[in-house]
Order: sequence, then structure tokens, then C-alpha cells
Amino acid sequence: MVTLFGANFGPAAISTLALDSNNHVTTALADTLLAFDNTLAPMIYTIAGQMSAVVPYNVAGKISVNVRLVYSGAASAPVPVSVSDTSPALFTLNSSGSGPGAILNQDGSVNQADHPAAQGSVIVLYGTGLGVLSPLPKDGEVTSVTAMSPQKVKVTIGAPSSLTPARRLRL
Amino acid sequence: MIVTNISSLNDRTPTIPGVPPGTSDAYAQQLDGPVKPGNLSLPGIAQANTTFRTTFAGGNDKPASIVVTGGAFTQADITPSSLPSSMHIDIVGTGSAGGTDWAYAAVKAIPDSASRDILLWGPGIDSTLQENQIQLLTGWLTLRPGSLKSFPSAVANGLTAMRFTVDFTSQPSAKTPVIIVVNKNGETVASTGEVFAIPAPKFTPDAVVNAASFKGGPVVPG
Repeated sequence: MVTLFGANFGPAAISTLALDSNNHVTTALADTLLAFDNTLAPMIYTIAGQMSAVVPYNVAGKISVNVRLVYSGAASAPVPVSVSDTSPALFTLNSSGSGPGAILNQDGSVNQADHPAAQGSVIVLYGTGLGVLSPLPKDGEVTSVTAMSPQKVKVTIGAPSSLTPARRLRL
Repeated sequence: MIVTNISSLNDRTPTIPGVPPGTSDAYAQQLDGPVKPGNLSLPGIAQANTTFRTTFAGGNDKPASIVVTGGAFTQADITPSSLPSSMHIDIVGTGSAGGTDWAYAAVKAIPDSASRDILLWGPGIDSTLQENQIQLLTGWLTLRPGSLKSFPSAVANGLTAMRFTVDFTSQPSAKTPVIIVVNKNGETVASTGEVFAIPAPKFTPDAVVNAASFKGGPVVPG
């Protein structure tokens, strides 16, 4: 999932994710489209000067793609962007990209310094940049039911000197 | 800039407030399409005289530059010919630069990210038209020399389109109307407000970031 900052696009008020009749995330939101080569990306939100979308799975294996943003029928020049298998990152509590992670404890409560997870319990992390999943979902598919695993990402917990692999990683 | 307000002095001289300082062209254009009197909600507009020729202040052969200064009135005298027009721009369309595709709709936008073709349909707009008879009243666009051609595959209302390519010489800072003026055989016609130059979306590679960390770098599937 990427966020894009720029100029000359987006509505004044934020427009957020919508599902089509097939329960897939739509690729058009408030007249905003984002294409990676010729594939439209499922849209997360769009607002003036900023938008977020899910990178289509068919960029996998490419070295770079041309990204083109379309707003109200006006297309940007294609912008070449490099592609990687993975670039993992966790969402954070304050949505700033740093600080405590947006993590839920086993009981669904927010994990915080004064509300830690119990040893051996299950926690939920929210991240992106995990790369291709197995089995591979369709672009924009809502995958809450089916368990999927990233192919090239592992999760470890603890200080670098004493990393503990997570027992199981599910999405 | 688009001025949306117009008023009238006691002598019925139209006054346009809010014109930005600088140099402008002033012209009178008949409401004979595509915008017609019935499209406007103005008292008495149905009785508007539409039988005259498009006329620029200073004359069509050498229009006067109207210099506008802030906070002051500037007068532009226009005396239109009462002769009916024999030439007219009925329809304006657009297509990809040098391509064969074309379309026309209510209002056309030309993003500044790429050159585009403009297509014109109308009586008198035919294969006798020369490039030096077409003017684009905008600071952003120029007609590409050698690009004007008759385009027989685009026929509308029984008329064949004339097609030419326009290139951006600079980027508009906002949506800006492209006024197309044809001055041919002593007669002038204009298309006003059918085509707009617009600033296209812009971003740089490093402005595409991971949605969780906001760090730049390569994009990843999913």
C-alpha cells in the first residue's frame, strides 16, 4: 500500500475506500485513478494533494513501473518508480509512520506500554509492503476470511539481540 | 481567469469588474452557438441580437491590447459589423496528439502533461483554412507548425473536421480557457470557453511512499 503526495488532484474533502458489487475495493474514487503501467490500483482514499492505493500484484517481478495519476480526466505524466519484492512496515498508533505500532492484544484492546500483551498471547499487527501472498488474492479483494501468508517476510519480536520468531504469521 | 460577473452602466455599456491587471484582448461574440441566449438566465436575453460578426476592440486585423490597471476603469470600444457571419465554429473536439482518435463533449480539458489535438467543425472551417489564420488566445499553448490538416474520418453535422496539434509552452497555474480565433478572408470567429487548459496532476518518484512508514523507496505488490 502506498501513499502519494502531489499537486493538482483530489477533492477538498476526503473520499475513502468503497466496495463494488463484487465486494472488491474500487479503482476509482472521487474522480481519482492511479495506474501502475496499465493496471488500475484499488483506492484507499483521496484528498487534495494526497492519496493512497494498493499496488497491483502484477508489478511483482518487474524492475520498475510507470505510475500515472488521473484526476477528473487529466492524467499526470508517467513517473517511473522502482519495484521491490518487499518493503515491510507497520502502521503506527498515531499514523505518523513512527512511534508505537498499531497493535491489538489478544482481547482486542490496543497494545500500549501500560497495557502490554501477555507472554504467549496472540497479537495483531497492521502492516504493508509484505509483497506477494500465497494464495495470491485478486487486486482489491477483501481477504478477511481466507488465511494468506507473505512469501518473503518473517516477524520477530524482541530486542535485536534476542529476537524471537513469531510462531505463526497469518493475514 | 474566468470573470463571472457583468453589469451595465446607465448608458447600457457593459462593465466587467474583476479583470486582473495586465494586458487583455476584448471582443464581442454573437450568442449563436454553441452557447445561445436560451442557455443564459438573464432578463430580456431572449431578445438579444445575435446577427453580427465577432469583433475585437481595435479591429479584427490588428486587435488593440487593452491595458488594465488595478482599481481603475479601462475602456474598450467595439463596433461589430452587422453583417451575418458566413463562418462559424460549431463544435470543438479533442484527440491525442497526431492520433486518429477524437471526441467532443460539452467542455474539453487539455491537461498540461501532454500535447493534444484540437478539432474544429463549422461552416467555413474547411480545407482552405491556413495555420496562420488560427490564433490561440492563451499564454500556455501554441499551434504546432505543420500539424493542421483536414480530417475526413471525423464528420459531425455533415461537416468534416479540421485538426491540429497544440503544445504547451508553459504550465497553467489554474484552469484556463483556451480561446480559439479563426481570422479568414476578412472575417473572424471565436470559440470561447469550450476548451480549457488545466494543470495536470503532478508528483515525483520520491513522493510515492510506503503507506505505513511514509518512507520512500521501491513500491511493493500489495
